[in-house]
Amino acid sequence: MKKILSVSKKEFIEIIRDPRTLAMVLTLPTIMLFIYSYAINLDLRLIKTVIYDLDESKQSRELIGKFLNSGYFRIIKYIDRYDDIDKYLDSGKARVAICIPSDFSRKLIGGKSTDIQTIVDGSDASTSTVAINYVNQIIQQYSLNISVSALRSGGMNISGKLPVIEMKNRVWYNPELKSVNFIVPGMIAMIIMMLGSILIALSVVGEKENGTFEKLIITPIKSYELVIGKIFPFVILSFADVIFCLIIGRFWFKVPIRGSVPLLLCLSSMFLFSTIGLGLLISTISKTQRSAMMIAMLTSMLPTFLLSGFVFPIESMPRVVQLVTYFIPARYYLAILRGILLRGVGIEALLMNSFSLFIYSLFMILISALRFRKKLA
Amino acid sequence: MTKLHHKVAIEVKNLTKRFGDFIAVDSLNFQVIQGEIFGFLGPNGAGKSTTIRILCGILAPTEGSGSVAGYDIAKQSEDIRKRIGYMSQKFSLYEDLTVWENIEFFGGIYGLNSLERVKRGKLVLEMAGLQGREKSLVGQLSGGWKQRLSLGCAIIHQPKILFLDEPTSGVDPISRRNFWDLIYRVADEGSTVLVTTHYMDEAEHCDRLCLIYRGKLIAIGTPAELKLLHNDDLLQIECQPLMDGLEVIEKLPFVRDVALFGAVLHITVADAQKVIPLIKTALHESGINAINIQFIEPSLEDIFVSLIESEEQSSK
Repeated sequence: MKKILSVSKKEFIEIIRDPRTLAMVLTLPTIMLFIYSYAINLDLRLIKTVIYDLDESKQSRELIGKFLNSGYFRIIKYIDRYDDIDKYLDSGKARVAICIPSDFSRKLIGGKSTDIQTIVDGSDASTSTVAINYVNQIIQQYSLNISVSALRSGGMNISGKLPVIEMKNRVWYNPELKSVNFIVPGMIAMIIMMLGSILIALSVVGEKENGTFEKLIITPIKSYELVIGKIFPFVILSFADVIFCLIIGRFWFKVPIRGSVPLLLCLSSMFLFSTIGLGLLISTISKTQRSAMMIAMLTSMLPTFLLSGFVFPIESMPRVVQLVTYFIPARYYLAILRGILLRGVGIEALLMNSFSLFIYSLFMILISALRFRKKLA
Repeated sequence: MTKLHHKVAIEVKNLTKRFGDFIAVDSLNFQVIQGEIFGFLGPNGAGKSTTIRILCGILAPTEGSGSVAGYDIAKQSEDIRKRIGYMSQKFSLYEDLTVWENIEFFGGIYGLNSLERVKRGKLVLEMAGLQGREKSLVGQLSGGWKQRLSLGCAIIHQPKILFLDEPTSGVDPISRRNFWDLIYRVADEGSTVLVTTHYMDEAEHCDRLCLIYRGKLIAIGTPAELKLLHNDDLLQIECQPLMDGLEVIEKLPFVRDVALFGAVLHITVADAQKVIPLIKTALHESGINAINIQFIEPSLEDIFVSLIESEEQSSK
């Protein structure tokens, strides 16, 4: 115990004295959280829109009002020439153009069908898809209202409500579809991955590089004492960072925390141990800090970012890649995080993910302990 | 040499270590007596460090056996590690930590309690001459100080045996001198010291020496004993021009060996008194100015050069 504490104390002092590590531990989570939360904004709030209203009637203004009130469109210009659409879309000043024909109100009053042209900039596929969906929703809603009132005024004797199927979309768990609610859990996974694997690997390989590792081997310290003493400060720091991210997420980004925080921390520790296992494993195969850094980046950060479902949904990946994701621990952890934070579920809904994570971390710790032991002996 | 009342600190029998086809250590046999400073000499790559690593329990020997402080190197490395100190050629302290933090850390991992740590730590500070610099970062100390602190950290737990693997390489001569004073102090306090070096002047400081070359033990004994191994006489010749003199002397039939030692030549002959006039004549005839020819005591370096050369010839 005394020996473990000595190692931990030394490790703490080294972390505090090394500006690089300290920066990685303290500022990087904050910076990453803010950059990613604002940069990876998957919502289409305020799509820049131009309107070409040839009708300029009560009806057309009503429709435009619907667009405005939806909260998804920002009308930057009412144009009066068709050619201007080209100008705005080409330069990227607008993403959507809506053209209302001159006979719009006339046809509607006359009880005839009419159409509206929507032109969307398709160069950003995801934005345009979402934009088209919003436009469709708004127009259908409006058109339904018109049909109903037309039927009524047309002498159809309807008392009360017309039997229409109204679509009531309810998005559970993330009702406003805020992407920051997805990003904060993802960031927590990234940060644990980074602290666990990269910092541990760097710290062990650093000792190898400056010869202190060899000196430690010749002392009576046992390999498990050395490993526990060494990872202890990183475990503390990782937990501090998780809590820090949760606080920022909760109070700055208003990400809900619906489930149990102790359960979250408990399962986080499991994930943390799998990343520490990976870090130790990397430290046994690399000779220099440079190579340790490269290997850690490739094996931990990149898969966590790309294959965990953080940025790209696993369901939309090709079959083969989907299979690969089963070997990425962050996949399970992310499901757990989202489950606890957004859905507020307990352990019973997360059994499969927790179990997979448990198996994975057990495997990683075992493998790395064996390799580490062999290296020491 | 080994008398019965001497206690054996280190003993190896037929110790061999192979890495693939390469034989790093080739059936070594030797004993180190408790309390002595035992020198391990040999050129780079001779197998010195490998032997130390086997004795410390980092490497397992391929063949042979050995004991350190009475414990078997193959089976009881845990017990050995508690009783030895080790310092390597590569500087190995934590540069981000202060002098005192390093001392505390090594005290801690050797299992000293806080009282012992302070007591031994102060002694180590005093030995290394670092009082008043407890709070300096180790990274800011000069090489000589680092070396002394490194030694201090290796003896904080009062090891029975201290292994020093080229402790003075890359350190200036004055620091080396100071460092050897420290080694003497450690030995006086009862520790056995096994030190590897390739500095011949340092070899003279040892109680006993062994020379290894290509993993084999070439010679073992006190410096005085080793000097007796040199049966032939040694002459030192100063002449002008030096290289022409070397060529002339090399061709003389009675000269066994010529070696360049700085600005002079060392030549090995069977009987110095008989050949001095002959050499003078030969040099004179070739128009070389013989400034000084004298009979000298062989240094350890002469002995090792000749021992290694005869080893090379016999292995051919």
